[in-house]
Amino acid sequence: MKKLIFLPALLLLLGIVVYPWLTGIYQSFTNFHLAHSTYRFTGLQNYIRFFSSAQGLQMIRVTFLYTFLVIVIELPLGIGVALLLNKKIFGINILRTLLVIPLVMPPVVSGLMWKMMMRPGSGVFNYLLGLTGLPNFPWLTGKHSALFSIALIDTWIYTPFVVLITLAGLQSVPSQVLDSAAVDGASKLKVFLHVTLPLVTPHLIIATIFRSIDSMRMFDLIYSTTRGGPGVCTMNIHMGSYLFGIKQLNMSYALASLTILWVFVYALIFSFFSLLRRSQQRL
Amino acid sequence: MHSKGHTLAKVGIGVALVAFFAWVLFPLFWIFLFSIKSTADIVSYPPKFIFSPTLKSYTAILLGKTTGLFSVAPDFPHWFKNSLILSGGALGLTCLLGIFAAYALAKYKIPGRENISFTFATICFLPILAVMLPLFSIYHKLKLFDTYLGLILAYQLITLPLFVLLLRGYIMEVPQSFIEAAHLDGATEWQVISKVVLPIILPGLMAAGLLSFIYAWNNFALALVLAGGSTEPVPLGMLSYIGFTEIQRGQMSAAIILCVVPAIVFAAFSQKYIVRGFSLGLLKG
Repeated sequence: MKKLIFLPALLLLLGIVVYPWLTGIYQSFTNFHLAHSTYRFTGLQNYIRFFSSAQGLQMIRVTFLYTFLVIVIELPLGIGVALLLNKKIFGINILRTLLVIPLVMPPVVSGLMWKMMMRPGSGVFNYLLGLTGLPNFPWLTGKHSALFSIALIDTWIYTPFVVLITLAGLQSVPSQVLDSAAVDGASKLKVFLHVTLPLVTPHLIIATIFRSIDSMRMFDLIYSTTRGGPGVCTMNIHMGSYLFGIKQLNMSYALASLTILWVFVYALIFSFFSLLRRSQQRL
Repeated sequence: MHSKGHTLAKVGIGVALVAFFAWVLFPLFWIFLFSIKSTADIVSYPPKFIFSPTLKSYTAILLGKTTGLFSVAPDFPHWFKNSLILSGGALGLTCLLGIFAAYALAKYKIPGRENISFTFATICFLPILAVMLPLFSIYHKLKLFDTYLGLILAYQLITLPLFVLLLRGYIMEVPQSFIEAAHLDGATEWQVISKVVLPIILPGLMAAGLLSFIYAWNNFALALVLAGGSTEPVPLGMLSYIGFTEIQRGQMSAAIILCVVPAIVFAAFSQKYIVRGFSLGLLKG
């Protein structure tokens, strides 16, 4: 009987997470609308609408483009900074604490902060661009620049995450291994490629997993900066589902969008975790 | 000893690091300047670096103010109180249930133990609105919308799986022999947990609790869907400084700085555990 002490937590999560979530999946196959009192089963109608509309395809494009931007900026930058910090540096603990600050601030607050600095007419970024003689940049208000600008804010918040994870990996590499490789006459580059890199690969994969999942379902930053605009330029699936469900009251369509997002996220998780398992077996 | 190339490399590394940290700190510095500028200094362009500082934005959001027809209610303390009640309440409930769940999933032979743990992990990866939108309808039916109880229950989606996964990792590191020795001395199950296991993993308990609290404190999407005027926490309330045409930049900046202060405290205390926490215990860091 004593084994059952894990049940209250499990039951609570079943009630507050799993039940609503499964209800949502069921309702995504209906025409459930908050303005109507009844609803009925309509099969794949919401899903067909999603995949056959320009809006649905745009949301898929934004979701993946944003994830791609985040990964190609944050990973190289984060790994680079981690390599620089992986030395005996005076005040490393203070530097690490500074790095943690963006990570433990509400993302919404970071979004609002950057939105003010990215003001098109008189923001400080355009002022700095002006000082170097460059023309004003539209940042969050431009069709082509908005998504990139949000990815830049994401970079400010989460590059420290990649730095800290990579740094933890680098510091777990035993120094004897590095020393003996150096004694054997291996060049610095060779030691890095053949000794250090394979040992930190699991850390890098985990950093990639968490960054891709969080950017695929990014909501807070988009809501606090553009709410999907201008037009639908920064509307990813997560942001779109809020507008469909809460603003347009079309709950079933919102839930179908979320179910599609969920499938994307889980496909990613499973492929990454099998990659992780393989990289750990190789060690 | 030092060759010219070596010194150059060191200078390069130094410059790169300074540039990176300047990029991390500049926004905080800039918003701090905004928060102590008068309205006239905020709108002046090019930006002023020399100005007479004022605390007007802070007193406006903390104590309220009236100018002409417009009055600003002292909302920030109300949101802050809500954030404290919601995050504190969520953490309390999470500890109450989570300690036992983590112990059972770490130490008992339960069929499907790894699957149950994996379920906890996958909950952390759900797109949050996939749970919140259905809860929105359910909460309206159950009259839980915009109530502390309803929100604290919903916050468990964020805090409970994270707390259980982290604490489970720490408990698994407690040697089995300690627990067996306590059992031989006739200790009850509750005594084993409270007198043997918890004291050993106290740092782990603090880490799991702190990280759960931070996640709850920073959460936005959940409150956006389920909270109304009487329970809205800081991240949601802050949006009201965005007017129809303009952001109230002074007040927004003061509120942001008041959010940075707890973040600095969080950062100082969580720095050691952050790698383990943010990787859901996958990395020991």
